[in-house]
Amino acid sequence: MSSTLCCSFAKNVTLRSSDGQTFEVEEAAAQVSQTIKRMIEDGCTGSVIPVPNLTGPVLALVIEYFKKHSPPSDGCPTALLEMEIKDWDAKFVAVDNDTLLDLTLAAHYLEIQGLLDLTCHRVADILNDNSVEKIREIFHIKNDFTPEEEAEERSKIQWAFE
Amino acid sequence: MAAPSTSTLPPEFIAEILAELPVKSLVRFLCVSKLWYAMIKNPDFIRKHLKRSIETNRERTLIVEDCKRLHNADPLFLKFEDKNRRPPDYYSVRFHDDGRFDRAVRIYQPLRHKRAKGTLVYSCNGLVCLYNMESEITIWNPLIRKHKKLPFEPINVPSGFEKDGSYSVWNSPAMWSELAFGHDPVNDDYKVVKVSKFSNWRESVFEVKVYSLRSHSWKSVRDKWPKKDSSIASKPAFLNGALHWLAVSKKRRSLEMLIALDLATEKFQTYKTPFKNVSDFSKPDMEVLGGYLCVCGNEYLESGNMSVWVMNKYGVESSWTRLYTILREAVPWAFEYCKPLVFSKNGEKLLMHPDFDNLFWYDIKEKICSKVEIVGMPDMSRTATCVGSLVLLDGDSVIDVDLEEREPDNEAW
Repeated sequence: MSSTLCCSFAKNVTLRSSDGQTFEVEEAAAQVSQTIKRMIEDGCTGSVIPVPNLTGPVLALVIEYFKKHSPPSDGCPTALLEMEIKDWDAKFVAVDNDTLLDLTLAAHYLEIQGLLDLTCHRVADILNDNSVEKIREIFHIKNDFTPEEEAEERSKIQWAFE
Repeated sequence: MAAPSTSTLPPEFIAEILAELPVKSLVRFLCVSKLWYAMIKNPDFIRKHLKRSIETNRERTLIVEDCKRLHNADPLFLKFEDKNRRPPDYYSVRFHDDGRFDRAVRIYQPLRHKRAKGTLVYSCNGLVCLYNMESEITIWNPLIRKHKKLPFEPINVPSGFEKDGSYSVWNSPAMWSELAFGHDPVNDDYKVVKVSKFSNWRESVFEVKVYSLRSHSWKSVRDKWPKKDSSIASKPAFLNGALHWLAVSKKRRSLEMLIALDLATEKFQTYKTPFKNVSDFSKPDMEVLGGYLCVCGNEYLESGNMSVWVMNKYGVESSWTRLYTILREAVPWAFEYCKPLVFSKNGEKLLMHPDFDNLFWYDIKEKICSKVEIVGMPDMSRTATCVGSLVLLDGDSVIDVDLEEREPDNEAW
């Protein structure tokens, strides 16, 4: 049974990033993304699938994730394989903060639940470990409190900064 | 390598991620920006965060009342009558899924009345209800140092039940009053229930009042207490949006009744229990363990073994089963009652709090116990279990005692 499935699945799709780069990837692997899966089911396979929210470098990373997470051709994933993937995942999100944010957004737009959980966890860890000032810097957040407002707010919750 | 980016995450996304964080970080992040401030204070966010905390046992913390702090105090410095009438100290102890406990940390509590002994009532969703002998009651979130004090509600003694002379609010022999605390999931409201019983030589009447955090006011519960000839034989236990008490029937001396008050409808319901004879149990009490209603007590005075019964299916009277028995000989310390606090992560052990003694783990299968060593742990009287919660983030701040004592204090003691 599995061999027939395997043979019928050698199809590729082409994805195009916002800056016009194209990538060829196995259809089964690309379907890790629910968004792409729907587009394939709607018959977009003949032409190139546009991914306008992602730049080339980010799309290239996401495709790496697709390849690692595409369903194994021989059926059940083994425990060993799962552990290897977990290791790989941890390394995959050990990237600079901007890339991490790009990957988080990409996982959101492309509906890749596994990648979204992974990146959100990593973002949560970064948030927990950093000061308010550093968080503003990492997440490109403008501090719109006046110095007086901020000082007042901080004085109320001094214990949380200890 | 990705191109340089100035990506910012959409707000709904940030909220999703913030819901994964502990409360101390979130309180600090109120200062990040106005948007983050609004997001963290949003009631929907607070609900979502709490749900995650409960699912994952995040920031599970024991709140411990120190019962004996005055034993070591300078006796010359204290008047005799003050000894047990000072607010007790409280400690928080974080405990982890792997059975580890952090050091006990002293925390400030909100009821600082100088002469009033305070007492923990109950905890729910990270909140603790606290009262003192001056009839002050507050709902307290110890992990974010916020509280909300309840307005004073007098007890109106019905005619025919007055006592001669003065009576003390909490200890009158003809009047008895107890507090309970829980969450009304239908209205997402927190409620404190005060059950008062007035007795004279002929009869008893009950009065039940409920405080709602949403309306910040008290009102009388219209439904009548279901068993007039009974007395409450347990602490209240909160589960499934309802408070529960064990009631002893006066006539038959049996523990046969479980009285429940639904906090949304404010209606009573009664359930039968399998405990026919009051002497089946010495000091029975109600607990909630792993999401089940339990009755714990020393079964048969001779053996002294402690049994825990559970209502396996909520509201189904025939589903009461004995969950396990703690063999008296397995526990080398004397205790009258032992409160089961939580199961270990694998469910094989139970964290127990014997009255006035230190915690221990009881291995249910092996029937052995091991003492829990916690650095800085006081002698405990009461404990409550909390999870990380932002409920009451808009409440009043709990003032540090150090700050308070810097102010002039004219009251010599």
